[in-house]
Amino acid sequence: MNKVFINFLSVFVVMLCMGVFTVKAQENQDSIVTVLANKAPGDLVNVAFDTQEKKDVLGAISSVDIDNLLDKNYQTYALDGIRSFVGGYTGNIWGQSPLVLVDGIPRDASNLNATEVASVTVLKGANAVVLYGSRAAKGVILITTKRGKEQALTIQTRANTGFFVPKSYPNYLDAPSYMTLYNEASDNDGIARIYSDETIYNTASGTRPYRYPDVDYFSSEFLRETYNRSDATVEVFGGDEKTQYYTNLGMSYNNDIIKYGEQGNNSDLNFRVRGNVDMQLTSWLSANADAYVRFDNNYIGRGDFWGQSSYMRPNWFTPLIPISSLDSENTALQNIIDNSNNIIDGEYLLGGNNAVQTNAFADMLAAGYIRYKSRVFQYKVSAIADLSNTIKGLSFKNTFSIDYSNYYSEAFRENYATYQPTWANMNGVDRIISLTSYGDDTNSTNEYLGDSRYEQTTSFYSQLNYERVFNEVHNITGNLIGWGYQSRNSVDSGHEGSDYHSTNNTNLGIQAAYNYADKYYVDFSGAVVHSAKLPKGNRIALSPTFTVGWRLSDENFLKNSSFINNLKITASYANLNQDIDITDYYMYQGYYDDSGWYRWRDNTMGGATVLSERGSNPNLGFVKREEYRVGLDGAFLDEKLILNVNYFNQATDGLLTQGANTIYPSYYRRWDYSYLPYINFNEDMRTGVDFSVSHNNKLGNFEYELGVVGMIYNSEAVVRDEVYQDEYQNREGKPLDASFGYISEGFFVDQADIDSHANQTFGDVLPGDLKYRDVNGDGIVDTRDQVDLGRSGSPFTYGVNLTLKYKDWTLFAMGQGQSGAIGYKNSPYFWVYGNRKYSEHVLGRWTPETANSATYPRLTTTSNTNNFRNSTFWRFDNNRFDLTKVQLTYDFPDTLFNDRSLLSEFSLYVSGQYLLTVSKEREMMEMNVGIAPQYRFYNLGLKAAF
Amino acid sequence: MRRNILLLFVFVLSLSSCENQFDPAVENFKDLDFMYTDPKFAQGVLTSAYRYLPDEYSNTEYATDDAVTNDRGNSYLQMATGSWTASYNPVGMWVDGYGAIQTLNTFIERSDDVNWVEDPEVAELFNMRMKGEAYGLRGVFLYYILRNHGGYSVNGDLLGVPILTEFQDSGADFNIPRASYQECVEQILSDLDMAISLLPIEYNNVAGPGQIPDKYANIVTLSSNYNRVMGDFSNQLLNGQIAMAFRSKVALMAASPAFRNGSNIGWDEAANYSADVLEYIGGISGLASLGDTYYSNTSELNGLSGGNNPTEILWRNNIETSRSSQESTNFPPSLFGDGRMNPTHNLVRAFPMSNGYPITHPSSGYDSSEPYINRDPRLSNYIVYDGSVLGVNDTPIYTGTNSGTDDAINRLENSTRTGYYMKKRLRMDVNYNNADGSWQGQINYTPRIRYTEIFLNYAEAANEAYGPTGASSNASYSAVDVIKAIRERALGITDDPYLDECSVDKNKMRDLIRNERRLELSFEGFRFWDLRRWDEDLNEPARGYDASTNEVFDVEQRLYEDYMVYGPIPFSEVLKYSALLQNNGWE
Repeated sequence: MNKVFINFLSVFVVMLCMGVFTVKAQENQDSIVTVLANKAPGDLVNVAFDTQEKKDVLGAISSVDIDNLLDKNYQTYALDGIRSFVGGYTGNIWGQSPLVLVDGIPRDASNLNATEVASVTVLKGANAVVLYGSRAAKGVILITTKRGKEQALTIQTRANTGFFVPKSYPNYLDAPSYMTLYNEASDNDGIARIYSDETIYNTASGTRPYRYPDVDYFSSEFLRETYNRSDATVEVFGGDEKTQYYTNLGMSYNNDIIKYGEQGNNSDLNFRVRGNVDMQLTSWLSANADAYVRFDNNYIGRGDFWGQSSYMRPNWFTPLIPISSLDSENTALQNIIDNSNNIIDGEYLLGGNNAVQTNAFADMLAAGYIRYKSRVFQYKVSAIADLSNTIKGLSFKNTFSIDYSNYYSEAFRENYATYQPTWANMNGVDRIISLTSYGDDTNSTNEYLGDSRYEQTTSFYSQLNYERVFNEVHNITGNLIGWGYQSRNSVDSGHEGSDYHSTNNTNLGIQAAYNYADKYYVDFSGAVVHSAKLPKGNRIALSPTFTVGWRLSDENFLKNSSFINNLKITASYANLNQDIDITDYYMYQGYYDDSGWYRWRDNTMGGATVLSERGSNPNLGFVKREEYRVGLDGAFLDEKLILNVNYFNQATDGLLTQGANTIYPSYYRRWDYSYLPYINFNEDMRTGVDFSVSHNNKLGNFEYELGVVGMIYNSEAVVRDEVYQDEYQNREGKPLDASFGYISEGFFVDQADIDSHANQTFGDVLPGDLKYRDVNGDGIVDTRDQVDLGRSGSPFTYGVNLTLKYKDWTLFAMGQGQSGAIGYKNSPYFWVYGNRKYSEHVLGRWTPETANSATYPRLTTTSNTNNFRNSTFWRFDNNRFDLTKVQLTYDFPDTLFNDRSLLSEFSLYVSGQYLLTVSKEREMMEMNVGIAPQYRFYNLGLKAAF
Repeated sequence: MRRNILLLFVFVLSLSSCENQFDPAVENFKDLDFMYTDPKFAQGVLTSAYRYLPDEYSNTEYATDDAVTNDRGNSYLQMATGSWTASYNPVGMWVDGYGAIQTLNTFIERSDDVNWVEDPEVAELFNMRMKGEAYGLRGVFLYYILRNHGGYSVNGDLLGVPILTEFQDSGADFNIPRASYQECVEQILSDLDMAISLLPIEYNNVAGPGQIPDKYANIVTLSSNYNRVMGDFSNQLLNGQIAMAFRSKVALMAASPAFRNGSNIGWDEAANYSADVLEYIGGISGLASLGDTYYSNTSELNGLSGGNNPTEILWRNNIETSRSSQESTNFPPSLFGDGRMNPTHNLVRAFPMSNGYPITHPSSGYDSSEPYINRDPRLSNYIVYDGSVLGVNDTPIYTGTNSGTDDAINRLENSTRTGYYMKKRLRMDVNYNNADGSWQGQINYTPRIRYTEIFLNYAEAANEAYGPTGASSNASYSAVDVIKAIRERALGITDDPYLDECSVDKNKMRDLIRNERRLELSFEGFRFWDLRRWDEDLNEPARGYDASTNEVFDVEQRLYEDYMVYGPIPFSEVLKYSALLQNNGWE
């Protein structure tokens, strides 16, 4: 079947050669205008393999002009805040994870700097993405970078500096409170207390912190109040009619909130250069070349400070042991001091204990550092031939790209000893009489190469484009596109983590479109997709899409309406074939594996064991996305009100499963073998409406623009490989993100309450433990009593953006929100049991005295698997609105600049990011546990052009 | 022309990048046809079944009256305290058992067609041995599935489990009803008999052709050929003696109170099958003198190699030359262990006095204020109590709540919950090196079948079938003779007045035999199943003892329902297959 593709490509070559020779014969004829450059630049939208005038867009496509947006909203990364401008986009597109393309090439955009970007187009509908083939079947984000312009050399610079201010830190109990409550937990469990009143008293007094430690991770001893990020960018661009060029040069630097030990030097440094040039080589041939280089250097001291801050109890050990407390007469102790590599500040030894032989503090002080280095190189070349001399309206484009990225770390590690002191009271003074040591100090002189990764992506496409207008009303477009890319990676020097198989996409795109006077539109777009993941014979499929459009506003009955400026409805049907959800190659093929081993005769005899790893399914096929979509575009009231709405109904059919629950017996699979084949079985359904509305107006010197976007989104698991005894447990018929758990009925009041309730099978329960509803009434509470408690994804998401302009002042604000989802407070911060660190939430614990007012189950030293499982008790409504950005910009008036002045443009701006969250659960949402905190970011920046 | 070249160049570039776009990179997938040409591959199909054998040190004691664990998330702990359901079954054998039977059936169906070796005599021997192993293992796995899942079904019949004697491919009908308990027992015995007929009793090298066992004499003529297949190269693979031992196990289970109405197996059969095994080692004289401390007989352990068995051992796992896993898991905290297995005061009380009397007997001389004085030496061998010394340095261990040590009750998460730690299964010369944080292991192994078990099987069955002093037709010794030998080994007494007292009372003798079984086979995975097959009280609370206060306290309740004598059929399978009946109470 490969031949089909080779043949198509051969046709390209032949056509190309014909074109070349024809053109050669007619070389003297000039004034051929390239079709691709024919369009007015202002209202062009980047779509798959093309640009289109905004008014002619048929698919569900939204575009954001980042270049202009940046004038009022400086943002670091290209995709920041897109949610506030594009309906249906939440990071996902219509609920699914999109393919990200930068200049038509699959590239990582998470670090892509906003100043380099001209526009971001979100391709939502199946008909909008089909030309990109299989891997684009869940939507595409198409980012287009800036290019040169036909104008005199212009230099534009930006500089920013800003501060990150932590929003909040977790509130853990201090050591005396912790110990008191842990004793209560011991009492609850009927076991002996482990903290004496004396220990608690001495800890609380705070006068002997080394013997009775009370470590607060979030104190100013370890953390700065803020940290800084600065960046600078220089753009140079310009050109004449033959050649245009663009260069972007930038760097950024930030430090870190931690200031302790080696982590005080944590920093990230980034440097990047982007350049491109467009050349008109002859009257019919143009070419362009792009290059991008990026360096990232991160320096980080060793030690998992944030992780340990979430589980190291405050009294657990003494991070630093004062040498002055060591018995000076004791030669064994003095020897330890003499031989130690790590005397901190000349005063302390590193502390630890049996369970905490290494720890974040000692790591930060003595363990060394890691330097991460990331390098990205990207190249792209294109040639565009106008073949109008052969066939009027025909052009040909060919692009080839290679990207490399490379990531490695240079690491330095030093082992160290920690010490656990044994204290005694000598003459009324606390003295350390012995030290138990854990580990050894080492002297390491080598930096070594740690983790390393390497990734390469090559892509190409060849496109034959036909575009012509007949009789001024018949617009005809045709496209034939061959597109493919391949990514390979290798991880670590031994290649242990490398993917043996590459990531591939190969397809042929076909498009034929017609529109009559921009009023009636018909479009067929399709792809012949190929997937090497499927068995031979099933590898090629056609993905067709059909779209029609009708501009009602051009009909006579609306033409003269003063209210309606533009009104267009579009409808499309698509049936895409994709292999994204076929996660690996050869999944259709069963096989036996002999990598296991069994030995006998005391390991002197043995041989490989042979186990089935998978059953065969020669009929495995593509996963399908079948979609119906209706869209409406409108402009009203002198274009002061702009509206775009899409309804979509999208079925994903033939998702893979192994039939373990409905078809095959449980012994068909164990951790080390499987007889299960993969089959096309499950089906998902997604439906929804996305919208974007904007309103702008001008009143004298005052201008404003308000945009609201959003999506109402529903999903359903239509077919599932599942069997449940009770129907309410079926995932089938429920949303894809339905979250199952127990219905809590509050706390058990007393033993009688427990005895009269259904038997809960999650371990012994006592008064103060959670009571769950026996949903099926079988007298037992077990996994069968889990019910659908709500959706983990939001059925309604929205974004807003607001611009106010008065003379030279611009105020911009944007926000985003969601509602209707639920979550569980189930992190270790909320689920405190056993030896977990106690957070403030345990203060509301159940005791017999507080039985009526308790907000938390009884404390326990066990894992209490009864209380700590998802239930309505821990559920919260995940509704929130975030004010993500506010920026005030002052543009110095044009009158200040003239031809002779160095500057041609100058602006100053201040902004605040993530300033405000509005939610009932704001406190929890603004708090990170076990990782670095969330920050508000305050930035001051300037922009100047020369 | 330059333009043409430029464009063609661009084209060649784009074409060159699409190699490998259309076919997946090559991978080597193997299928079962490899068996016919690659005998190692064929043997691998068989040996993979050995990997599913259950671990005798699985610690099911956590779910009995013998012990609790300080590992609060342990699945046996969860099971014993009310979490056991048909969908949460930590003692399920369904997947491992039928998984093994799948691969064994694959093997049995193809073994005759495998080109084992060029020499036809040797090839036939190989085929005999491997098929013998396969049949034997199929019986062994069906025994385990039956033990863990057989029981009275919702319609009141004593049912076994489905019997699968053919490979179930993806087109098979999986809706298979359970066979009766009796049919399962018959299937197991038939598979084991098949193994016994194909396999030598033990894999021993022979010195000359005359020593080749009769059943192979007309197949193989050269002793070197016999030794190649049936000699000590095959040590620790399933042999005739192991198959016979499993006949003893399955018959004992089937004759037991929980199953006797419906198994069609009597105590005499259990006694006969057990005696068959014991006759091979010469009956009572074959009882290994150090058998009760098999795990710590230093010189015996250090001398092991080549799959040879100490006299106590009938079947065992490979030696591990530097093992510390048991010690690091079970040593008390002061010896840097996790202190996982915490024996109960119930078990401690089951150890008699050194004079052989139970501590509750008027003649015992038991002093509750000195509870560990003059006790059965097995107590201090198997259990660490307050004041025991442990480890290379004879570290004293204090478990009383007022002792102030890390070993005290509930002191740390790895401290005991009962006041006791386990000492059985551990070697005292395994040591934690505090300086470099490593364990220094010693040679050890996990047994699969000890002869002591078969002796106890015989004693239990013979007492029931022929009374305390009667013997089965194929043996010359009675239950009393066996117990006397075991207690002499343990207590060092030849004069055993309490045994004499029991030898005239079958019921008292039964209790004594069961108690000896509890002690001798403690911490080896027996108690959980023995309590069930005897239909005894499953809900005896696990108790502890605080040496500081001389108080006995309840550590953990046992929350078993009456129907939990029999395990459940997996919930998922009952839902999928309508012909599969659930056991009573589990629906």
